[in-house]
Amino acid sequence: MRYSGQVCPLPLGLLRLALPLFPDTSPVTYFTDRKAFKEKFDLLSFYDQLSHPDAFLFNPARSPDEVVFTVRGDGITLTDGQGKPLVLDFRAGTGGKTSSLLPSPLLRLPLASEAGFRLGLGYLQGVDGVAVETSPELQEALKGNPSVCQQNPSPCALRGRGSFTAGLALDLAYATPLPEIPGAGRLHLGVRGLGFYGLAHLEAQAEARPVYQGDQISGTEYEVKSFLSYPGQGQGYGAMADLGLAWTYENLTLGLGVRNLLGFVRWSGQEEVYQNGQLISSTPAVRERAGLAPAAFLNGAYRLPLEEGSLLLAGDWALAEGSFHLGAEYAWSAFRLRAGFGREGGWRLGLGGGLRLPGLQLDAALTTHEAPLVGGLVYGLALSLGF
Amino acid sequence: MKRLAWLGLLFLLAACSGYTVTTLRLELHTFVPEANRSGSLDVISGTLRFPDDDGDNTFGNDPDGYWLSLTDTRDVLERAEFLARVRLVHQSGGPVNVGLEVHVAPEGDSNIYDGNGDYRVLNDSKSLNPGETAELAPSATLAPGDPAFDLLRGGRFRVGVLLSVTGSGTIQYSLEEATLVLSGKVFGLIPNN
Repeated sequence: MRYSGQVCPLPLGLLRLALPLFPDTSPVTYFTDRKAFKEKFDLLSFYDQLSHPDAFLFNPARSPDEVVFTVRGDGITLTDGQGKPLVLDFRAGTGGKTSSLLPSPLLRLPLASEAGFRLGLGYLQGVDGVAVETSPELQEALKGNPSVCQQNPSPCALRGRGSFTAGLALDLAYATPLPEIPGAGRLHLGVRGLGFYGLAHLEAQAEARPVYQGDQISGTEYEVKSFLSYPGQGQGYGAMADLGLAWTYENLTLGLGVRNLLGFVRWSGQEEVYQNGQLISSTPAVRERAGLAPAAFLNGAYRLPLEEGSLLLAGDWALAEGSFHLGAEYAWSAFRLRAGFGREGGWRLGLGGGLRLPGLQLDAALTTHEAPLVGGLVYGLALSLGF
Repeated sequence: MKRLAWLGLLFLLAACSGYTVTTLRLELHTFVPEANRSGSLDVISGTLRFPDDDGDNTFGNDPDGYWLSLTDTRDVLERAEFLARVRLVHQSGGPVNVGLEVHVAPEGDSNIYDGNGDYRVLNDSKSLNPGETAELAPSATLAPGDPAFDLLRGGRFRVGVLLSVTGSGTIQYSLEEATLVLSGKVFGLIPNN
């Protein structure tokens, strides 16, 4: 889970996106300083920061200084300035195979909390399903065997797709302990209902493939499909229910959470299809998902008392996405120290610390993730605040 | 003709930063069939024109070169570079002079080697006596202000290589490279205001 209790991650990443001080990631410089935008803006850095909004990235993924397309009679190769082949295949999020109906909350404002009930208003935003794929034949051609492409329609295709969703959600959660199991701890049950109003939803996919005349490329054909919905051009709304079950036994806690256990999301908007640059169709369309779309999470924690303070060992596993995290926290007085690692679209390492004061909880973490497209580690700072 | 518009999608994926230099390296010699990249010229005076795609079954006589139709790079292109390399061996006969030229011309030009509307962007020559070997490897960089550069920026042009021999003898030639390198920044397409 991205938050628990009254603790909320701060969307530090918005600083990089909104402030012209960071021309590599802030599209605002397009309006405030066009020269800086043209010289420094980096779409890959922007994408990297946009997809990690709860961390301020110190070194977001950086586009290569030079990209070289070498066109030969028998094919095309793509390298950086040093001749190193660029990897075109990459995936972020679930790579278009998302099982959740809605993204996780980026911001949540607690409105009320009483007798096991909690009411909150959240802003949801997520980039998901981003993937660039080369067909196996195109991969082979780029390795120097272009003959596999030489037919019409060519099996050599480059495909890209992605989606973006934003909206407001009002959620009501209820948690209660169940009767104690004699000698085996206690179960806790939690449910959450969420109503969603969509602010924007964009889906896009593009495919390009060469056209051959004999063994020579004589042209190309490409198709772009997009679906766009925002208030004024359609609308989006939905509702969903989450379920959580926790078992506590002495210092051990195990949990099972299921997001989107039941629900629906409906977007109405405009679908457009372009072929070879020409608008082929523009029609009203609906994207609707309903019923069971569960995304299950398992987590566990064990607190080990020490002579001075205590050590908390914890882990979580998102079944649908196959991501997991393992970590430890040392607690001493009001201070916390953490370290962990995990896999979430590449390996991640994390270091962090926190402070617990009466009525205030502050946590900071050094995060890492693998840079999309170009590889390498990206470091970031994440903060969360609780009251 | 090569329509390379589909490179646009790759450009978008890999080159979308203000500082990324996107380089398009066109290895023109690879469009000449390998069997025709080397051979013997047994002439009193003669010329060969590469590439030859006129389909008349006579190699080396195509006057209109190779038509390239790229995306309009008027706001993108910052530099153009030509590289060519030919190895020569004088096998027999008397002294000869061998010249290597690369020409570019507007797409409508039917003869890109006659000096009428075309530009000679590379030029090198060598005199060879019997038994001598030599290499012609001229290169040139074009920048804004050069009329040939302005032609390339339009994205639609013809290009070709002319190998000429004057004298009497047999020359073994081998075309090893004829490359056009275009470099620029895709963000140049964004208006300044």
